[in-house]
Amino acid sequence: MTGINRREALLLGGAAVTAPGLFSLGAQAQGSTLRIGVLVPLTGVHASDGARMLKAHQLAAKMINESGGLKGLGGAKVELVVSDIQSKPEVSRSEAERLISRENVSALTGAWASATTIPAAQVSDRNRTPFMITSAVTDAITEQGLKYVFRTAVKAKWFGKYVADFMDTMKKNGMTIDKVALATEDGPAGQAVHANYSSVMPGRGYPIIADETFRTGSPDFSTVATKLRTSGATAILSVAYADDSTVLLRALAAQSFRPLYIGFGGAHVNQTVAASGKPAERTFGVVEWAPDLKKPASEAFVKAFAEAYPGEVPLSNQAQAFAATYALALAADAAASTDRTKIRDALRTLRITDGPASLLPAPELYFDEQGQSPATCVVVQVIDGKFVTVWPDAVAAQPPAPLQG
Amino acid sequence: MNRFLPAIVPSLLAAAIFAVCLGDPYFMEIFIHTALMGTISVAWNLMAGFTGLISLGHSLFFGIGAYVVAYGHIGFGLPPLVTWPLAVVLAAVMALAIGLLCFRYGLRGYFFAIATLAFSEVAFLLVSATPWLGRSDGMMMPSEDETLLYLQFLEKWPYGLMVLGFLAITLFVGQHLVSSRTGFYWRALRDNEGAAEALGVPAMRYKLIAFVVSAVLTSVGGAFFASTFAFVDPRSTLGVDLSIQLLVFSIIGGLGLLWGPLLGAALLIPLGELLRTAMGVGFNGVNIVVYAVLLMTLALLLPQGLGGWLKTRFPAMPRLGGKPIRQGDAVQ
Repeated sequence: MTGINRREALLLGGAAVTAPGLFSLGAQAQGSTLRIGVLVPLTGVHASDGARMLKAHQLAAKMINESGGLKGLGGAKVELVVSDIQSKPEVSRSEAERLISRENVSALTGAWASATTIPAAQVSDRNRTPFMITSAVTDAITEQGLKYVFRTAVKAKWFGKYVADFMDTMKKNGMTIDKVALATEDGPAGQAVHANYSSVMPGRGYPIIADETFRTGSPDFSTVATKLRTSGATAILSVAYADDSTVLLRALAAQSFRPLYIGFGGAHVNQTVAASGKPAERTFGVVEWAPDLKKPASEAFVKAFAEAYPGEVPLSNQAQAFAATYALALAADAAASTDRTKIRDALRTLRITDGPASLLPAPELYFDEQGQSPATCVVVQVIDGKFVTVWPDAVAAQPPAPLQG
Repeated sequence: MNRFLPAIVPSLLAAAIFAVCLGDPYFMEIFIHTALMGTISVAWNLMAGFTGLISLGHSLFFGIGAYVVAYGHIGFGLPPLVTWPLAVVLAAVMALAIGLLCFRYGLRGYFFAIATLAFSEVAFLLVSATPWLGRSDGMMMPSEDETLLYLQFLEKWPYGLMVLGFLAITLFVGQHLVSSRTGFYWRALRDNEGAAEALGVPAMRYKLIAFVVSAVLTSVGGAFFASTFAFVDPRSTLGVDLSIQLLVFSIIGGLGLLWGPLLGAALLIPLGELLRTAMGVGFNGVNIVVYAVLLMTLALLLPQGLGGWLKTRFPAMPRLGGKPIRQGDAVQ
């Protein structure tokens, strides 16, 4: 018995040794298709996020192909070469390497978290292949002089600025906002935003007078709520996951304390928060995109998404993934080439103001010399149990509703 | 017979594979990854396979190497010429401190394993929460143009050459120690610490030597990682995944054989790549299941590891680098 198994074991070893020959079959010249490598985590800790992102990438490719492909390339179709990066930085790196050298892709996009995006972006840059970042927000990515890296997402450090801008608007509308309290979870996301808010707010005339940190999954927020109430703050900026947000909002409501409350990002702008009843009503959230954005491209995207994936409402990162895929295709179209450097050059001069790729809230999508887009955020408010975009004016579904309603 | 044969033969084989991979950046990437993981597994095995000290916290030393190089570059503009030795010194001091603490209180087997795991987890959590170390997002080193000073090359092969050198040096250092008095003391301590001590083996000193040598080699691996990939993050350099990988490569390749872990890495890493690319994304996660089943099969069928099996199968093979031991023998 063991004899056979040993032989099998040897066979396996042999397979590993001869693997190089098998790999090379994949590489071949591509004719009338634009091959875009999509790096998404389909297994591992980020698996569900990756699966969501992939849907948006695929929808973009489908819409381009159904509308006749890329005219500048003689009606060429977009072909996505999808790769599972297993939520691991080292797999992301080697998959980027493989898609570039084996699969002959013209550009790459992805790769969810910052830690999985940065290694792939570096590989792309070294191999002179455009990389369109969808969702990673680490500032440094577009500040290090990488020449082939582009980003549809915002920089992390911009969030504080947007929130301050929004509070300025509310002040102009007659609301009293003078002192700010921070309530942040103690994980990496919470602490990164905490640092950003702490450095931005005082300079914008919003001194921070209370600073509460809590552990994700805390059962009771009444002490935190009491401290926030007695601090005399007129606005609370929080960073918490949906469940904690709900509990914190309930604790605040129990003490009849209803200041201006702004939650952070996709973790807060989540239907479970909006649907949690009266405590959440009229509170705000800052996020990179929202499905009710008043913009033709955004409305068309939500509609197409619901048709392609019945019953699903896209989230902010999916809009970014959609725009990322579209921008790469438009650049190849403009360059009339699948050549990597020509696509890179076209991305530098691309300016998108209308069409499906213009769904993000910024009035124009382009990429500066560092590859960063002028991405912006929107502020949403819970009105009648739903998140409604209320700021900025240009894309708002309706103006902010009064806090006490 | 040359006592360095167990270092020479694998080094030459690795050099041959390096030469084959020269023409292709993707293969070179796999070669670099395999050689790096294989080499630090060899370093880990000096402790585990030869001295009987199972460390589950070796990512700590890898992380020290990686983060000293990355932070030295980003924070102070220091070149690898300065940061690599610094990383080595820091890792040695850290290993000495942890070793003194653990061996002073007689931690052995599973208790030692858990103590080392605790140290590396503390480091992981600390780095994940430290703003100037990039938190859990990691740190990106500025991309210099091609410079020898900062070990920045556009091509991959210089990194392949570097890791090849690291592999050869590790094997020669390892073989020198293993075939000297130190190595015999190590094995005596592994097989029966009480008896060895009774015969006059200074247990504390030789266990510390094993720990420090192993940690120093691992930190060089970490430093190489940072210089090569210009990006460090807690999960890849300090996470428990890394420590477990060293254990897996060593067990599958052959505990107690100097070159065994190299064999394990050379089998498992390309196999993982092959499975992932062959299965495609249509079968999400199936490749991981297949990999796991193969791993279990190998562990069950070849309790002495691939290297150990080769040696018992071909007794004519020269006595290369120690005697294979069975899984579990190392931990008493």
